[in-house]
Amino acid sequence: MNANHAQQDDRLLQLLADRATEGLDFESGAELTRLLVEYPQFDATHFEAAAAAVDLAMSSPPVEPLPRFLRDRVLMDAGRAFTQLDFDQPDETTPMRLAPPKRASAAPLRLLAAACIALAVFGGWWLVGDRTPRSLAVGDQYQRFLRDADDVQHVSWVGKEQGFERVSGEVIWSDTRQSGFMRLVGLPQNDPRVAQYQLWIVDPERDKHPVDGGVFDVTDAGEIIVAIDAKLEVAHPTVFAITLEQPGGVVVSDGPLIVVGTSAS
Amino acid sequence: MNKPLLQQVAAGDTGAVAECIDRFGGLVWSLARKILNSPSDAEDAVQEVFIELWKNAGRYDPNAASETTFVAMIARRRLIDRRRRMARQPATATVAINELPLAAPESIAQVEINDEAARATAAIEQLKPQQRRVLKLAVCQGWPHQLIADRLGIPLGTVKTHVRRGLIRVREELEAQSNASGKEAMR
Repeated sequence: MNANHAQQDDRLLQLLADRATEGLDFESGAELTRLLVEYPQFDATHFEAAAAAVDLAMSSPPVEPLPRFLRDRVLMDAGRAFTQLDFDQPDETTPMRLAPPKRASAAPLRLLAAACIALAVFGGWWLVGDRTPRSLAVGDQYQRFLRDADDVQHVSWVGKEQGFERVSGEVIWSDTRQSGFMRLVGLPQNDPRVAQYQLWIVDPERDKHPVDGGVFDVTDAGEIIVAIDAKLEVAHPTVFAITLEQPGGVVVSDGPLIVVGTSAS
Repeated sequence: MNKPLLQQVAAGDTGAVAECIDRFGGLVWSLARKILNSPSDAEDAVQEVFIELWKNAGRYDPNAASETTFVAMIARRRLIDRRRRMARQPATATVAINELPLAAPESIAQVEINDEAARATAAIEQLKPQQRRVLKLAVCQGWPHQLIADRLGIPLGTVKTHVRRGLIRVREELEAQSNASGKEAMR
């Protein structure tokens, strides 16, 4: 191993240790991603399992039980997450021209059946979305959504940052379905190993913090359609915004809003 | 032997979802309350952690870690990221450094005390007192490295070295035990 490799190894281990304890900023996160691609012998969770074990071993506060209301929310989220992942949307917010959609497997069918049972048992699950089978491509899902949803809100995109001025398109969103799509024209391609686009949904009635709408990539020029993957329930979104973030996205963004759509209502 | 809960979730057994929430909800909630200062942040974070967990359940490898450690790992990653992004410092004012116990205190009582935690404790006990203190502040108290350096009056580089060497030591211990378990299982 030459000196440069040793230095890179050293840097990579330091970044992994930093991530496992205090987290990384955007630049360091991108550097870590690049080094992990370059040195695949390192596991991205190199120190995270060790840190978790240390935390479990040395933390003194007793475990507090999960509050009942929060348990119900988590359970409701699970119902939504599994339903959306398996039926009415692709696994990720996938541009229209990417891999062909997969057919629903037996496992998700069991999930849905069990979700329905859970709905009856726990009373709080709300299965939203039209459960369009996976055999429909995103473009077809988009058209079907436009045709079938009763309360579709149309919000136009406006490019805000240099290099994104020519971005256009719109968001279509249904409050009752808690889902929607983005149609984007002219959004520059990204290298997902370095950075990914992330959608944010602002709902002032819910919280001052925007809801994570999922990460997505642009791998081709021209028009793309992306299914929105809201991580939490939103009551009535007023602003949609796109940022460019580290791979995998972030929980709270401090990046500039490069493309924004503001609801007229 | 029962299939691990996370593997059941990944295989599509939604009955396992509720069981998973009941088994690990307290752990995730406690970590969120410890790492994030605001209860409302902690509530949102718990929801995000579980969504992340459902997505990653298929990656769980029982040969690599216990389910408790895997869940804690997923949770810590999300929570640390959230805390850093919100630029909120951990509540340090209420904790006096000298009051932090050096020996592993009584661990989280209601969580199953897993093998990894016990081995982590053994590895930590081999560290020098200052290394142990730094590791505890960084991992368990969630202090940023610069804050630890300032409060302990040692260079930032030394803090980073202690954290890294401590984690390497724990990782080696976990790997050694994992390999030994694997050989045992092969017999």
